[in-house]
Amino acid sequence: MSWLEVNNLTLTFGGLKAVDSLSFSVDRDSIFTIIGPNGAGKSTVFNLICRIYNPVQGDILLGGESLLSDLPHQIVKRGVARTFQNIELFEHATMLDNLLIGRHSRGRFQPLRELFFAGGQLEQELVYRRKAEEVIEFLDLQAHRHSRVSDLPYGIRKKIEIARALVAGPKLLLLDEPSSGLTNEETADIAFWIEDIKEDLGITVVMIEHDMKLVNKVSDKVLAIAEGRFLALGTAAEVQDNPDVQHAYLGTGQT
Amino acid sequence: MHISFRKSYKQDIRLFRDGAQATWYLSLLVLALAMPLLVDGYYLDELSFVFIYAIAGLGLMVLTGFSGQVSFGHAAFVAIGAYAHTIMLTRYGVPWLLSVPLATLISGAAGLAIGRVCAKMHGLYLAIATLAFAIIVERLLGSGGDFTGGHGGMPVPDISLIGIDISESWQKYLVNLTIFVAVLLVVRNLTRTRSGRAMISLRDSEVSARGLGVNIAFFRAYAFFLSAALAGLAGTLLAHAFYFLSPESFGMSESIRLLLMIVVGGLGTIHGAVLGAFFIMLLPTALSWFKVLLPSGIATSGGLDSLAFGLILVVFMLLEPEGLYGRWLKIHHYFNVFPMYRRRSFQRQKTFLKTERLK
Repeated sequence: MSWLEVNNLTLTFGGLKAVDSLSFSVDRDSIFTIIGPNGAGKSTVFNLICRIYNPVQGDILLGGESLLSDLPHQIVKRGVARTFQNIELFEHATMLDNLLIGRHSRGRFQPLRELFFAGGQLEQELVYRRKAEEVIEFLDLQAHRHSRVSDLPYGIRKKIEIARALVAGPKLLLLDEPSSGLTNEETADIAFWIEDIKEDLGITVVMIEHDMKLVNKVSDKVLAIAEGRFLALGTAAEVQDNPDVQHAYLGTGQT
Repeated sequence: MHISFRKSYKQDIRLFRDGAQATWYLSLLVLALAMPLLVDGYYLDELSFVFIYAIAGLGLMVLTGFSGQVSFGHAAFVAIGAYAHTIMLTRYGVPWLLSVPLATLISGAAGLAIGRVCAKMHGLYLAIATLAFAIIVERLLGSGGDFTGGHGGMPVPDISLIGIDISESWQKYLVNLTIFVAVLLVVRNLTRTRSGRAMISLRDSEVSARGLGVNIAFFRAYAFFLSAALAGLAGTLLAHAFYFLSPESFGMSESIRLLLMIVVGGLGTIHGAVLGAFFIMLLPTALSWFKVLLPSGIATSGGLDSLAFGLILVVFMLLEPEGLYGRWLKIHHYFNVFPMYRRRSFQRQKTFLKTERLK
């Protein structure tokens, strides 16, 4: 059954159609990968789902309800969390603080209780912390709790970004190129974790990825887009064999 | 080498990590409380100024250090607090205990208004806007006629705390110290709870803060509110320390001094605001010693202090961007791991990639 539905989505920047009447749907508890050449509009699709951009037309439905009525900071309450292509962590804070910020949407604004640290703040902080610790254990990040993010290597930061998204407790996780900049080993680890996120945590994953080894290994379904338009949808092998996809990546061979 | 092993999550949440840390801070507090017995009035007054500036500095730290919004006009909020307090005391006979929180709230409300107006401004634009606000406030106070005392100024009555007259240096010192410690606790509480973390998140990456559910506009305004309220609180105390209010005491140079304070102290840390306050208050004294060595023509020329302030700011930005507190951490680390200290331990990695700013 389809859970995330993108219907006829279009976004234009001036005369440029970044996303052009794109439709696809993602099943619950699956791993859905979007591939496409540079500038195909993959990240733009993510930004549309996260409400950073307003589509010119079309709709995005999650569990049958439109996301378009939400503001960008309300999306996480609908169960959507994401990572970014070029790591957007809170660099001057510790990893632990980064993860705790991930829990922001679960709390309420209680200025007086916060400023006087009274009325159950300690208990609430402990609840946040336990959730963060669950994720720390899941992603094997124990060694870095109190390190400043700016002091940590790239591979670890990439993992922290996934961790921060998981702390938010999402039902839909959007991963924007989880393997970019990682070594082969790290990419292999990421593949395991993505499968675990789906199977153990019951989170639906939509990812943008270029590394076809990773795509082949984890994807249930692959969508190929180019210039904002739908190219092909199917299993990883089917999409790779599709002549339109090969054309988009490689050209026709005739000059 | 002292290693503090964590045995419970509460250690990361409580005020002090362990007994050793608690002992240090509590002995500092005892020393501060014992000061009236140890030194005479002049030094108590100086220390009072340090505490008052530290409160204003903590206010600016909330705004600039935590939420990442620059203010070049924070002296205006100090002025609003000071004037509101004095006017309530003299014109309306409001008791001191009520007037202080009211003036704090008035200043906070002014901050909230500015925060809302400047909700979409960043960096330089915000700096100019706050600067303009400060100039407007200074002018308004100057042209307020009898109500604000105009450019002629306005005398400030002594503190009267539930009938007890607070006029001696040591009494004022204790009042200032108490409020300072309370403000320290409040700001520390902010940093260890949800709102404080939200401010840090919008400082470091707005796009991901939003993705995690942080309402950017709301928390920017909240930071402005808290920051202006603390500055206003400092203003109420400063009024009594000055004895006399005039708009010139809250001009451009005061705003710059506040900013200098938190940068020199160490941006983004509570310790930084306090160390910065000590530094700023001790600087004129240090300069006066230094002036003895200079030829009299240079020593008496007016711009020397400003020159020194400017030079110090530049030197800190070049050599110690982490401020006095950062330097303290390095010295602490040096002795902690002696003789294994390496300068590289504190070298920050440069990041070249940043997601293009959306919108």
